[in-house]
Amino acid sequence: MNRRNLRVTLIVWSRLLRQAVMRDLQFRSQAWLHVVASVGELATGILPVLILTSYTGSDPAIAHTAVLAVGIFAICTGLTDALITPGLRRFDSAIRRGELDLALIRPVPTFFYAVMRWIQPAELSKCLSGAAILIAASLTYQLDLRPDAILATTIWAFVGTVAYSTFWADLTLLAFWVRSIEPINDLAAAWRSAGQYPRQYFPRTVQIVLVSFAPAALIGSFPAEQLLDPSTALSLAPVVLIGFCTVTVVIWRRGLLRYESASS
Amino acid sequence: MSWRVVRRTTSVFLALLRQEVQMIAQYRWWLLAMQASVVLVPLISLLVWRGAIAHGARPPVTTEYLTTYLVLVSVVTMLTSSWTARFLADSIRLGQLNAWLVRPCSTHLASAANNVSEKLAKIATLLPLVVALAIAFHSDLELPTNPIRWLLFCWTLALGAIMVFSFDFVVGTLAFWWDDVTAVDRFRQLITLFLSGALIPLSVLPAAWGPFLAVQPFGYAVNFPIQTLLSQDAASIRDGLAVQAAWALAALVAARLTWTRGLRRYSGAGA
Repeated sequence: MNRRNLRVTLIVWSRLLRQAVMRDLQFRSQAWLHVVASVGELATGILPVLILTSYTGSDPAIAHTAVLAVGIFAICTGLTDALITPGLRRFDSAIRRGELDLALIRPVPTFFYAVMRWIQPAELSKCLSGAAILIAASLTYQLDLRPDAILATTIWAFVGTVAYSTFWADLTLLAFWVRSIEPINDLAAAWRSAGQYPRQYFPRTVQIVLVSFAPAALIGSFPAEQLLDPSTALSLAPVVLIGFCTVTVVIWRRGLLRYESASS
Repeated sequence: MSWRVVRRTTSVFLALLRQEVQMIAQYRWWLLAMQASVVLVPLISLLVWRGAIAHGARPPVTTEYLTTYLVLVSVVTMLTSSWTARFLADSIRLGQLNAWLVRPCSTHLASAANNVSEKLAKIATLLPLVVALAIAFHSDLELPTNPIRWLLFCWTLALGAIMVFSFDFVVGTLAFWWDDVTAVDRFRQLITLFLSGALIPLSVLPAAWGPFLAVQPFGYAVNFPIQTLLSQDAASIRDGLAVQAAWALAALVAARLTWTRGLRRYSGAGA
């Protein structure tokens, strides 16, 4: 991508963002209800974790990780639910109805436009709630957070957010091959919820899946572990990032070859 | 209602049911992906709770109860679920309701046929997944052998389904007054998810919540039908049956009320 393309892409993205904010301002009552529902979703996520940890008295480290994981999970999912998942959820119908044509003819990267076109600013409220949970947990548990731990957590949370978004996109891109696969988004969202529970509670095999093939733990429990014990080498982060992005690019290119405009 | 009307309604309903089943049979991947997501949420809960117990957690219920509950919950959640609000709201907003209002049969037959037919198709996809789950955790699975319990289970499932469908219908009819009801629907789904026991059994929630959980309606959609199989307390089941029936009736009355009131505001080209 050259400098001009990058400029155009950024301009388009900022316009899309402005359009989304205007839409939310136009439908104010709905936007507020979406904010409340978004925070409610967070509450339904955190309550099972808090209830679960209330019965675990034996290992306080797990309880701390659990609450921190919920905070990080909220921030990561708030970002993806505002910027990426609305587009991914519409991807199946865009392919089935041939609406992808609109993205293909625009002078911006098609994948970017197809996925980032739908923005839901109200979902960003989850990020605020997540930050509040992190601050409250740090104060309540009197955690001594080191700068290197905060850096490691931030990097892994970013990598996890991108990695899980690409994993979700990989599943959504199956729409190029399979007719009507829209509920795959519910499957991706359901699996994502595993990321907010402490990894130690899962069987060994599931733990491996959670940090590799389907990296739900990378958007919650894994960065939370790094906040308490930043022992994982940061040099692995770009490898993970490049690996997941490469797989998505390959699937996208293969899928695009099958796309036949009004039907695929 | 005369015998002729009943016959005509049944005939239209069966025709719609057949049409819906044929249509959904075209979307096999859609069905499989959806049912996999329905099983995944309780499966994650099951793994987490078992893992927590293995790490020394002491919840107020046994591992056998948790396992049986979380294996059954996806079937119960699916059978008592409803998704008509979005479609009803669209048909009101876009004026598509006209086509049904002029027909000589109930306007709601299409929603009911869609609900029943999708459930038939979904249960066929979901059962193999649940059976696989049951086999994986069979050592901790405790299902009753008494047929009366299973009859009670079916009865509470039916009442739960009627109640959820009616509440969903009420949300859909809000489109007579509001342009967009998606956020309200999302809110309802959220509350139902947590308070029905679809996420975790209501028995593991704090004891202080007990009185509230006993009277709120959502628990009677998922948690209560499973309780009829697992609970040993006959008195609480008897009370639960009465409360569930009362909520189902209240939901039906609310649906009837919002429909008749809303229809007066309907103006053909959209609400």
